Amino acid sequence: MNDNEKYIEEFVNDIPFDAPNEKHRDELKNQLLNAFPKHRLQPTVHTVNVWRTIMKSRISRLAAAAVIVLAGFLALNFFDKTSGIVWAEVVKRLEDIKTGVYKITTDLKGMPGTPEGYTTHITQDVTLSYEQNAVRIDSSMQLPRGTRQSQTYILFEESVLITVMPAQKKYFEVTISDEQMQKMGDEKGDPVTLLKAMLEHEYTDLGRKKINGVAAWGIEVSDPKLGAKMGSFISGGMFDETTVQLWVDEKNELPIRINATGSSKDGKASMETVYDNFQWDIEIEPALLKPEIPDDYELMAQGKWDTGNEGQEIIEVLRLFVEYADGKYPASLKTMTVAKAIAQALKKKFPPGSPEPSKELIARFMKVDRVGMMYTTLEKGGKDPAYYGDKVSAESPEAVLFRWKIDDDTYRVVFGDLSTEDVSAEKLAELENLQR
Amino acid sequence: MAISKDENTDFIQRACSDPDAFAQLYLLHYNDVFHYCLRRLFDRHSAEDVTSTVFFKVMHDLSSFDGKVTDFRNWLLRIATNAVNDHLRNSKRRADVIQKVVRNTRAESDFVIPSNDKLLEKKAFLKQAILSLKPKYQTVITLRFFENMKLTEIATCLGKNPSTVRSWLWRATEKLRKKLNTAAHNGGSI
Repeated sequence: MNDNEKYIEEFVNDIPFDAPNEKHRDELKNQLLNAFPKHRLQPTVHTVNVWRTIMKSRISRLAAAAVIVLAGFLALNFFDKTSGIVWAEVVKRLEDIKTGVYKITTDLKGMPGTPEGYTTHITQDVTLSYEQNAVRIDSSMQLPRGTRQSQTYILFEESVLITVMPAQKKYFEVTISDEQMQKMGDEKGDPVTLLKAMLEHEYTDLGRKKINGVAAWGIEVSDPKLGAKMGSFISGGMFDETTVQLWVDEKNELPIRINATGSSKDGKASMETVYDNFQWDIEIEPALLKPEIPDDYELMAQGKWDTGNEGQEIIEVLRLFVEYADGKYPASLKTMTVAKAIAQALKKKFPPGSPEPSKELIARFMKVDRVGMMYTTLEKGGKDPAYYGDKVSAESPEAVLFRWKIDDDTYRVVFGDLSTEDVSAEKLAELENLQR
Repeated sequence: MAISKDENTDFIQRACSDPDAFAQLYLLHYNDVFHYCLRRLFDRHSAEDVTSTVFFKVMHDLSSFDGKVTDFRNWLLRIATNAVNDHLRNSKRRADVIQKVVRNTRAESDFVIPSNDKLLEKKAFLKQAILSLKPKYQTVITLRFFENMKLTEIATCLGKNPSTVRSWLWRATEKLRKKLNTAAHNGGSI
């Protein structure tokens, strides 16, 4: 123990603290028991889970992703028949990666808030450090009224995402819950995560080809769900069709290029994305991954990303349509559809020259970015969600607008006027039959 | 905490599906969680709020606890650490906590253990000094000096490398000592 520790130990030695309050303890016990999940009829099996052990810290979680990818490779004998890659070396390479930089170039047609048919050109320079547990994305977006530039920092240690817009002297900040952070760790959109996701699907071996003179091996997967793994905030549930090709450098056994395309069935939205200029394990200045926000920059909004409350959050998004779109709900809960609909409504409510929307409204609006992802989370979690915004508006207060399962035999039903009721599966069937 | 690991594991397994077992588990650990939150936040009401948050999260996530490899208390303290840090993260709230602490420095409550003025003054210095540190430094100070955990135990609890925790502790104690000295010389202002 050094001098400082001794000093503090002596200092705190006799400091008095309040005793616990039995009243609070008992009240909290009652609240907990009232909220105890009724569906937990079978005790969960507690097995020693290697994956969970590996996932103990965020740094090891990021590094673990690389190992799991490798396990996927090995299990599938992915390349070894033809490429002659030494997999023990791949293990080492993937385990040892500490930093990476790459460029993402995207042409996106149908971006919310842009004219029909307009293609937005987006470039993103990504810097990630598994050592510093941080990601920085320098974005440039060509919009009809000029180019918008921003820097986004995801700081895993502090569980915070900050986006700074230097030209506007503004920034916004989103705190991220541990669960959401874990989800982002799993779906953070880096090439390693994407590769893992691709290997979980049926893929086509594209064989060998030269990319910028470098011999590479590729695979291709077509699945709309891969869009959510691309790391773009608007990609969750955005496209009906998505195809991703990933090419790996034969020599260093690391990604060299990723091509992704997506399109909606109606042809109004499409995306072409290329990830390239990969550099691995280069020196990254720690300061580069720390946002410096000058004092005169204005905080636009503060938000919070959480999980486990998706149904309620979707209701909050729908409430925006009651307040700003005369109760006309979006036809689907795909992020693109919702964002477009609310963007049109807000354009009418806030014509050029209007005062800027309040911070609270901006914070509420930010939830729209995640609505597709939230709906997908309900689906993946077996919550049996359904949404009828194409048929139901606020003028139908007794019609079922949205519902999801909250218990084995209980659904939370959201009606056209956004009132809610918890009903049995049988009762839900009656309600839904009425509006068929 | 006078409960063996095996007993804990048994409780935890039953507590996933049996409300009575969950209530027992809760009562066994309530005081530990409350004390930890109080020593991080220095405010009874905030500590009770965060304690509530912690136990709702515990109830929600209990089935994910791996009873064979991880000590339950460490798991609980990690959840409490995240909950306290979430609570403090909002800088405005953090500022409010500090102001509230200053206001309440000498306020007696029904639950305050009788003490003398000098100790209360020392406590006031400590509150201000600790709350002005970064949350990660607050965490290691509390775990080391109030929970009496060894460096390796803190590292396990937080899921960090011992070398990382050692450097945090070194920086935290150095900063805290400076702040306490400054407070003592400036009549409480740090």
